[in-house]
Amino acid sequence: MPSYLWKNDEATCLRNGDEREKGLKKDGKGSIVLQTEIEGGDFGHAGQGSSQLKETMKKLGIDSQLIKRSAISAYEAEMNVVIHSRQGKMEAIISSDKVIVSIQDQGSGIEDIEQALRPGYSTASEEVREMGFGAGLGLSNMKRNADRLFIESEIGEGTEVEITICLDGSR
Amino acid sequence: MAKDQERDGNKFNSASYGELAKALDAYVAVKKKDGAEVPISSVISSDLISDILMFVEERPLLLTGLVNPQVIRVADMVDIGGIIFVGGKKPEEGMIEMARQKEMPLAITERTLYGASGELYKKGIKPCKYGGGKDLAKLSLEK
Repeated sequence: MPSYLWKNDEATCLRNGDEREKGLKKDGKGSIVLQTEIEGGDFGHAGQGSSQLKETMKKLGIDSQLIKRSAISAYEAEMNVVIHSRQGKMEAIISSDKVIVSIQDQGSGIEDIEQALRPGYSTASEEVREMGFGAGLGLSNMKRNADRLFIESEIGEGTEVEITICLDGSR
Repeated sequence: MAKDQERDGNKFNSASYGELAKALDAYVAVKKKDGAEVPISSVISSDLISDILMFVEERPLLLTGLVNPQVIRVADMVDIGGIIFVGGKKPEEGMIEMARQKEMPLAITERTLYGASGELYKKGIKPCKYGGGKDLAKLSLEK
Protein backbone atom coordinates (compact mmCIF):
# COMPACT_ATOMS: atom_id res chain seq x y z
CA MET A 1 0.00 0.00 0.00
CA PRO A 2 1.47 3.41 -0.93
CA SER A 3 2.57 5.35 2.13
CA TYR A 4 4.39 8.49 3.22
CA LEU A 5 6.31 9.20 6.41
CA TRP A 6 7.76 12.48 7.62
CA LYS A 7 9.16 13.28 11.04
CA ASN A 8 10.88 16.02 12.92
CA ASP A 9 14.31 14.63 13.81
CA GLU A 10 14.56 16.98 16.79
CA ALA A 11 11.41 15.58 18.39
CA THR A 12 12.41 13.96 21.67
CA CYS A 13 9.26 11.88 22.15
CA LEU A 14 10.11 9.96 18.96
CA ARG A 15 13.57 8.95 20.15
CA ASN A 16 12.53 6.09 22.40
CA GLY A 17 12.98 3.53 19.66
CA ASP A 18 9.55 2.00 20.16
CA GLU A 19 8.29 2.87 16.70
CA ARG A 20 6.78 0.24 14.52
CA GLU A 21 7.16 0.41 10.77
CA LYS A 22 3.57 1.55 10.36
CA GLY A 23 2.35 3.43 13.36
CA LEU A 24 3.75 4.44 16.72
CA LYS A 25 3.38 2.01 19.58
CA LYS A 26 0.30 3.05 21.50
CA ASP A 27 0.82 2.60 25.18
CA GLY A 28 -2.63 2.49 26.74
CA LYS A 29 -1.49 2.89 30.33
CA GLY A 30 -2.42 6.22 31.86
CA SER A 31 -3.51 7.62 28.51
CA ILE A 32 -6.74 9.37 27.63
CA VAL A 33 -8.46 8.00 24.55
CA LEU A 34 -11.03 10.03 22.58
CA GLN A 35 -13.02 8.44 19.77
CA THR A 36 -15.22 10.17 17.20
CA GLU A 37 -17.25 8.85 14.28
CA ILE A 38 -17.01 11.11 11.23
CA GLU A 39 -19.81 11.38 8.65
CA GLY A 40 -18.82 12.33 5.13
CA GLY A 41 -20.47 15.54 3.92
CA ASP A 42 -21.76 16.52 7.38
CA PHE A 43 -20.43 20.08 7.53
CA GLY A 44 -22.70 20.99 10.45
CA HIS A 45 -21.08 18.66 13.00
CA ALA A 46 -17.69 18.46 11.33
CA GLY A 47 -14.72 19.23 13.53
CA GLN A 48 -16.31 18.01 16.78
CA GLY A 49 -13.54 15.47 17.39
CA SER A 50 -10.87 18.16 17.13
CA SER A 51 -12.86 20.52 19.37
CA GLN A 52 -13.15 17.75 21.94
CA LEU A 53 -9.40 17.12 21.73
CA LYS A 54 -8.75 20.81 22.32
CA GLU A 55 -11.10 20.99 25.33
CA THR A 56 -9.62 17.84 26.89
CA MET A 57 -6.03 19.08 26.48
CA LYS A 58 -7.04 22.43 27.96
CA LYS A 59 -8.51 20.70 31.03
CA LEU A 60 -5.23 18.79 31.42
CA GLY A 61 -3.40 22.12 31.58
CA ILE A 62 -1.27 21.46 28.49
CA ASP A 63 0.60 24.43 26.94
CA SER A 64 -1.65 26.48 24.61
CA GLN A 65 0.75 26.33 21.64
CA LEU A 66 0.82 22.51 21.82
CA ILE A 67 -2.98 22.45 22.05
CA LYS A 68 -3.25 24.71 19.01
CA ARG A 69 -0.85 22.55 16.97
CA SER A 70 -2.73 19.37 17.93
CA ALA A 71 -6.16 20.89 17.23
CA ILE A 72 -5.15 22.34 13.84
CA SER A 73 -3.62 19.13 12.52
CA ALA A 74 -6.50 17.01 13.85
CA TYR A 75 -9.05 19.39 12.33
CA GLU A 76 -7.42 19.31 8.89
CA ALA A 77 -7.39 15.50 8.96
CA GLU A 78 -10.99 15.34 10.20
CA MET A 79 -12.17 17.73 7.48
CA ASN A 80 -10.46 15.66 4.80
CA VAL A 81 -12.78 12.78 5.76
CA VAL A 82 -15.85 15.05 5.68
CA ILE A 83 -14.83 16.43 2.27
CA HIS A 84 -13.56 13.31 0.51
CA SER A 85 -15.19 10.29 2.18
CA ARG A 86 -18.44 8.64 3.09
CA GLN A 87 -17.39 7.70 6.58
CA GLY A 88 -14.46 7.55 8.92
CA LYS A 89 -13.31 7.56 12.51
CA MET A 90 -10.86 9.50 14.58
CA GLU A 91 -8.99 8.32 17.64
CA ALA A 92 -6.88 10.66 19.73
CA ILE A 93 -4.60 9.30 22.45
CA ILE A 94 -3.18 11.76 24.94
CA SER A 95 -0.30 10.33 26.97
CA SER A 96 2.28 12.00 29.18
CA ASP A 97 4.77 12.75 26.39
CA LYS A 98 2.70 12.87 23.18
CA VAL A 99 -0.63 13.12 21.42
CA ILE A 100 -1.33 10.63 18.64
CA VAL A 101 -4.29 11.32 16.34
CA SER A 102 -5.25 8.50 13.96
CA ILE A 103 -7.87 9.04 11.30
CA GLN A 104 -9.15 6.26 9.07
CA ASP A 105 -11.69 6.59 6.30
CA GLN A 106 -13.53 4.57 3.69
CA GLY A 107 -12.95 6.98 0.86
CA SER A 108 -11.60 7.10 -2.63
CA GLY A 109 -7.97 7.09 -1.46
CA ILE A 110 -5.16 9.46 -2.51
CA GLU A 111 -3.82 8.85 -6.00
CA ASP A 112 -0.44 10.51 -5.50
CA ILE A 113 0.49 11.38 -1.90
CA GLU A 114 3.52 13.54 -2.84
CA GLN A 115 1.32 15.58 -5.16
CA ALA A 116 -1.40 15.90 -2.50
CA LEU A 117 1.22 17.35 -0.14
CA ARG A 118 2.03 20.19 -2.51
CA PRO A 119 0.58 23.48 -1.17
CA GLY A 120 -2.30 24.62 -3.36
CA TYR A 121 -3.05 21.18 -4.80
CA SER A 122 -6.68 20.21 -4.22
CA THR A 123 -9.28 17.84 -5.64
CA ALA A 124 -12.17 19.35 -3.65
CA SER A 125 -15.42 20.08 -5.49
CA GLU A 126 -16.62 23.60 -6.34
CA GLU A 127 -19.40 23.23 -3.75
CA VAL A 128 -16.90 22.45 -0.99
CA ARG A 129 -14.64 25.33 -2.06
CA GLU A 130 -17.55 27.76 -1.69
CA MET A 131 -17.63 26.81 1.98
CA GLY A 132 -14.02 27.93 2.33
CA PHE A 133 -12.40 24.50 2.05
CA GLY A 134 -10.18 23.04 -0.64
CA ALA A 135 -7.37 25.61 -0.39
CA GLY A 136 -4.90 22.79 -0.92
CA LEU A 137 -3.22 23.48 2.40
CA GLY A 138 -4.59 20.62 4.51
CA LEU A 139 -1.67 18.19 4.45
CA SER A 140 0.86 21.09 4.55
CA ASN A 141 -0.86 22.39 7.64
CA MET A 142 -0.66 18.93 9.27
CA LYS A 143 3.04 18.66 8.43
CA ARG A 144 3.71 22.17 9.71
CA ASN A 145 2.16 21.43 13.10
CA ALA A 146 3.04 17.78 13.66
CA ASP A 147 6.26 16.14 14.81
CA ARG A 148 5.45 13.04 12.82
CA LEU A 149 3.04 12.49 9.94
CA PHE A 150 2.26 9.10 8.50
CA ILE A 151 -0.11 8.63 5.55
CA GLU A 152 -1.17 5.33 4.01
CA SER A 153 -3.67 5.21 1.19
CA GLU A 154 -5.12 2.72 -1.25
CA ILE A 155 -7.20 3.77 -4.24
CA GLY A 156 -10.82 2.68 -3.79
CA GLU A 157 -10.16 1.47 -0.23
CA GLY A 158 -9.43 4.50 1.91
CA THR A 159 -6.81 6.47 3.75
CA GLU A 160 -5.18 6.34 7.16
CA VAL A 161 -3.44 9.37 8.60
CA GLU A 162 -1.49 9.34 11.86
CA ILE A 163 -0.30 12.57 13.43
CA THR A 164 2.02 12.77 16.43
CA ILE A 165 2.75 15.85 18.51
CA CYS A 166 5.37 15.67 21.25
CA LEU A 167 4.26 17.37 24.44
CA ASP A 168 7.70 18.48 25.59
CA GLY A 169 7.53 21.41 23.19
CA SER A 170 10.68 20.47 21.30
CA ARG A 171 9.77 22.79 18.43
CA MET B 1 -5.10 53.35 21.18
CA ALA B 2 -1.67 52.53 22.44
CA LYS B 3 1.39 52.73 20.21
CA ASP B 4 3.22 49.74 21.55
CA GLN B 5 4.80 47.74 18.80
CA GLU B 6 7.30 48.15 16.04
CA ARG B 7 7.80 45.89 13.03
CA ASP B 8 9.67 46.45 9.78
CA GLY B 9 10.34 50.02 10.86
CA ASN B 10 6.60 50.76 11.20
CA LYS B 11 4.83 51.66 14.41
CA PHE B 12 1.76 49.58 15.09
CA ASN B 13 -1.11 50.01 17.51
CA SER B 14 -3.42 47.82 19.49
CA ALA B 15 -7.08 48.50 20.24
CA SER B 16 -10.04 46.74 21.77
CA TYR B 17 -12.36 44.58 19.67
CA GLY B 18 -15.17 47.06 20.41
CA GLU B 19 -13.13 50.04 19.15
CA LEU B 20 -12.32 48.23 15.90
CA ALA B 21 -15.94 47.15 15.37
CA LYS B 22 -16.95 50.79 15.89
CA ALA B 23 -14.34 51.97 13.38
CA LEU B 24 -16.01 49.71 10.79
CA ASP B 25 -19.55 50.80 11.80
CA ALA B 26 -20.16 47.15 12.59
CA TYR B 27 -23.18 45.77 14.45
CA VAL B 28 -21.94 43.70 17.40
CA ALA B 29 -24.01 40.50 17.74
CA VAL B 30 -21.98 38.63 20.39
CA LYS B 31 -19.83 39.94 23.26
CA LYS B 32 -17.92 38.20 26.04
CA LYS B 33 -20.35 37.08 28.80
CA ASP B 34 -18.88 39.43 31.37
CA GLY B 35 -18.73 42.24 28.80
CA ALA B 36 -14.92 42.29 28.98
CA GLU B 37 -13.13 43.89 26.03
CA VAL B 38 -10.66 41.81 24.00
CA PRO B 39 -7.39 43.58 23.15
CA ILE B 40 -6.48 43.19 19.47
CA SER B 41 -3.06 43.89 17.98
CA SER B 42 -3.22 42.08 14.63
CA VAL B 43 -5.69 41.24 11.85
CA ILE B 44 -6.35 38.29 9.50
CA SER B 45 -8.38 38.91 6.33
CA SER B 46 -9.30 35.61 4.69
CA ASP B 47 -12.10 33.59 3.13
CA LEU B 48 -10.29 30.25 3.29
CA ILE B 49 -10.45 27.88 6.28
CA SER B 50 -6.97 26.34 5.88
CA ASP B 51 -5.54 29.81 5.39
CA ILE B 52 -7.04 31.00 8.70
CA LEU B 53 -5.35 28.01 10.36
CA MET B 54 -1.96 29.19 9.06
CA PHE B 55 -1.79 32.37 11.13
CA VAL B 56 0.40 32.15 14.18
CA GLU B 57 -0.14 35.10 16.53
CA GLU B 58 -2.24 35.14 19.70
CA ARG B 59 -5.78 36.54 19.58
CA PRO B 60 -5.92 38.27 16.19
CA LEU B 61 -9.12 39.78 14.77
CA LEU B 62 -10.62 37.81 11.86
CA LEU B 63 -12.21 39.73 8.98
CA THR B 64 -14.04 37.33 6.66
CA GLY B 65 -16.78 37.10 4.07
CA LEU B 66 -17.09 33.38 4.76
CA VAL B 67 -20.24 32.77 6.79
CA ASN B 68 -20.72 29.19 8.00
CA PRO B 69 -20.46 27.37 11.37
CA GLN B 70 -16.97 26.07 10.56
CA VAL B 71 -15.63 29.63 10.77
CA ILE B 72 -16.69 29.80 14.44
CA ARG B 73 -15.25 26.35 15.16
CA VAL B 74 -11.92 27.17 13.52
CA ALA B 75 -11.76 30.61 15.18
CA ASP B 76 -12.26 28.98 18.57
CA MET B 77 -9.67 26.32 17.81
CA VAL B 78 -6.89 28.79 17.03
CA ASP B 79 -7.87 31.33 19.71
CA ILE B 80 -9.04 34.14 17.45
CA GLY B 81 -9.84 37.25 19.52
CA GLY B 82 -13.05 38.05 17.62
CA ILE B 83 -14.73 37.85 14.20
CA ILE B 84 -16.15 40.63 12.00
CA PHE B 85 -18.15 39.45 8.97
CA VAL B 86 -17.79 41.75 5.97
CA GLY B 87 -20.16 42.65 3.13
CA GLY B 88 -23.17 42.82 5.47
CA LYS B 89 -23.46 39.03 5.52
CA LYS B 90 -25.58 38.00 8.47
CA PRO B 91 -24.85 34.68 10.22
CA GLU B 92 -27.77 32.35 11.00
CA GLU B 93 -29.13 32.17 14.55
CA GLY B 94 -27.43 28.76 15.06
CA MET B 95 -24.04 30.31 14.34
CA ILE B 96 -24.68 33.22 16.69
CA GLU B 97 -25.67 30.73 19.41
CA MET B 98 -22.45 28.75 18.81
CA ALA B 99 -20.39 31.97 19.09
CA ARG B 100 -22.22 32.81 22.35
CA GLN B 101 -21.42 29.40 23.81
CA LYS B 102 -17.76 29.71 22.85
CA GLU B 103 -17.69 33.39 23.92
CA MET B 104 -16.40 34.40 20.52
CA PRO B 105 -17.07 38.12 19.87
CA LEU B 106 -18.93 38.53 16.59
CA ALA B 107 -19.96 41.57 14.53
CA ILE B 108 -21.19 42.42 11.04
CA THR B 109 -19.98 45.33 8.89
CA GLU B 110 -21.31 46.45 5.52
CA ARG B 111 -17.78 47.21 4.32
CA THR B 112 -16.01 44.87 1.92
CA LEU B 113 -13.04 42.70 2.91
CA TYR B 114 -10.62 45.09 1.21
CA GLY B 115 -12.33 48.21 2.56
CA ALA B 116 -12.45 46.92 6.15
CA SER B 117 -8.84 45.68 5.97
CA GLY B 118 -7.66 49.07 4.66
CA GLU B 119 -9.53 50.93 7.38
CA LEU B 120 -7.91 48.88 10.16
CA TYR B 121 -4.45 49.11 8.56
CA LYS B 122 -4.89 52.89 8.47
CA LYS B 123 -5.63 52.73 12.21
CA GLY B 124 -2.22 51.12 12.65
CA ILE B 125 -3.30 47.54 13.37
CA LYS B 126 -0.68 45.25 11.90
CA PRO B 127 -1.20 42.18 9.70
CA CYS B 128 -1.12 38.92 11.68
CA LYS B 129 2.04 36.87 11.17
CA TYR B 130 1.46 34.13 8.60
CA GLY B 131 2.91 30.62 8.75
CA GLY B 132 2.55 30.19 4.98
CA GLY B 133 4.61 32.10 2.45
CA LYS B 134 8.34 31.37 2.61
CA ASP B 135 7.98 28.71 5.34
CA LEU B 136 5.37 26.87 3.30
CA ALA B 137 7.48 27.03 0.14
CA LYS B 138 10.36 25.53 2.13
CA LEU B 139 8.14 22.74 3.48
CA SER B 140 6.84 21.85 0.05
CA LEU B 141 10.37 21.44 -1.31
CA GLU B 142 11.39 19.29 1.63
CA LYS B 143 11.24 15.56 1.01
